[in-house]
Amino acid sequence: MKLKKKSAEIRLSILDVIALAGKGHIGGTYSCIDILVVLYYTGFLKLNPNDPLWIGRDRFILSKGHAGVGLYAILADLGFITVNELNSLNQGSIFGEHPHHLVPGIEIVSGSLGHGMSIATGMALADKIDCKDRKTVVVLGDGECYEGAVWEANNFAAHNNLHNLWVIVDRNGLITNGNTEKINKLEPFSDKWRSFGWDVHNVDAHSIEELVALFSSLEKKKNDLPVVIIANSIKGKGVSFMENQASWHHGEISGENYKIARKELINILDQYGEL
Amino acid sequence: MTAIDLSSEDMRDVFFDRLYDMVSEDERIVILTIDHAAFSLEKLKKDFPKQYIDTSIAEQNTIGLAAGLALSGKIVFVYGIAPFVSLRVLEQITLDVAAMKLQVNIISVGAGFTYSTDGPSHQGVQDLQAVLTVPNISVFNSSDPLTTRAFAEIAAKVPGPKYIRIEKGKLNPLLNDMSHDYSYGTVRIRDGNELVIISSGSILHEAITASKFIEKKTGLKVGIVDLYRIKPLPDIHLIALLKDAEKIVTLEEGLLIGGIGQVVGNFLLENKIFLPFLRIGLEDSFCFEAGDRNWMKDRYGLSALQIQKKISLWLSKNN
Repeated sequence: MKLKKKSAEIRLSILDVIALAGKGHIGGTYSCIDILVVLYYTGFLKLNPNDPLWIGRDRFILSKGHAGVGLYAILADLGFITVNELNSLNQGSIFGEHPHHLVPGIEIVSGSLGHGMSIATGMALADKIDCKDRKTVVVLGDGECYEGAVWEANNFAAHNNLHNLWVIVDRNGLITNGNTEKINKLEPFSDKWRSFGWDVHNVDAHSIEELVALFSSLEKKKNDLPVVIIANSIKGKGVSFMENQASWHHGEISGENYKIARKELINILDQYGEL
Repeated sequence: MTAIDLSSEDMRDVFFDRLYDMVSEDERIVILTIDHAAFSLEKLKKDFPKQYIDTSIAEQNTIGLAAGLALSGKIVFVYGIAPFVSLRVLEQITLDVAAMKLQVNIISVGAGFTYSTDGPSHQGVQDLQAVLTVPNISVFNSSDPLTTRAFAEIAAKVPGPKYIRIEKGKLNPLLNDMSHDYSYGTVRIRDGNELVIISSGSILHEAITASKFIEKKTGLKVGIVDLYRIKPLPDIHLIALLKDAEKIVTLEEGLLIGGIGQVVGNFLLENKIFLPFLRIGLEDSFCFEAGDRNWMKDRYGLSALQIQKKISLWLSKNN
């Protein structure tokens, strides 16, 4: 229940920040926000907000950098960055649409799709060479999986048995111009990963219970395959008029649409009351 | 200090033999090869298997891997053919490596027409130009065994991203002793001030031959400067080396656009060194013919004879 409430709070915070900035990548942020909340608020990722570069930390890479505002909102809530910094999004600060390493808590320069997988694979490889027991977790967009470099890395990670590498694909089924299956089909998506030698799992990206249960069961896994979780999601999840709308990949939040979206998110938040 | 005689060794072996020593002393070093071999790499692979990884034919992934390894405290070397470790991965070099100032050393073999029979795909005529546009990266071009050996040491010890071209095959040393400090970035290798040729890479050896022709023909004293580090440009040392220069020629085995000549030209203007200036390199076109490296250089105006002709013609118009 607390995690669900946290997701609702973070969604509201994202809406407010994008409204301050005027516009932003809200659709693909809302599709992966429940995943990020479970990663950051259950202790699954071992991190230290007071020491973002703590040597023993797990590494998290938001390879679909356009969901950066979602990560900023979480980093601000956890104390990696301040609320003032969060509110400076796109207004003359280091907080732009695509996060980079100068922001505390961000590991790499994101924005161009298909880079995060290889960097994460290198991190996981280094940990394997050094016998370090920690995870590297990557969130990819499904549209990002059109990039050939993703599959170069996938092949390498499986060949090298990088069991410490976790990939979560935000499978919202939409790219900027529409439906993935109509434009250039990705299915059979799970089979593709399986054929590359990955330990493949499917999950509802908006079911906190399913995400928590899957992550905790996989932490006890015995095989040495890299893990991919295909997280079936809804672009724009949480705001009725944004849901499953490719046009909300990037949009303007102001006036009436801001009021309606805010009201809907507050209604969701109110369901959880005082926790 | 007397120079070690490395003139009988392939430049790749000069580099990797020195790197072998560094690897044996530093377990942080990791070498990634992109389905590319060198004789001396075999020894490294056999003796340090945990520090050598063949990443196969996947250049984009390899540069990303290198970044991930470097972000985890490794000192990374990536070894491959010039266009494939530059043009093919320019975005990965830019965003994954250079933007974060990581100690990733891209070791590029195949400058100019090294792979002379393989067509435009394998020519190293645009790699250096492309990489020069990347912020934060240092760009080196080896001209002889001594620079090659020094680059292995610089790569392993100096932090930050580097693009390092090494040659394939043998080259004579350009200096007679080992006293030069290769952190300078440039060195005079032939005295003469009436015409100074600035170059680097194996093409510089053509300049040496050409300079003798020109001296004989014109009586001009021709100096040669090895600009083996193009970025950051060694401004102060270059100004000192060009102090008495009367005419300047740049020579490169690559496209003129964005190349060494353009960098030097900008440098001269910005430093108010207004001297007669000629750039020699490849015109704005593709080289589709195939032949050995000497044939290619001659065909595209970069053999000692062609260089001498170009300079002589230019001198006749500028005197």
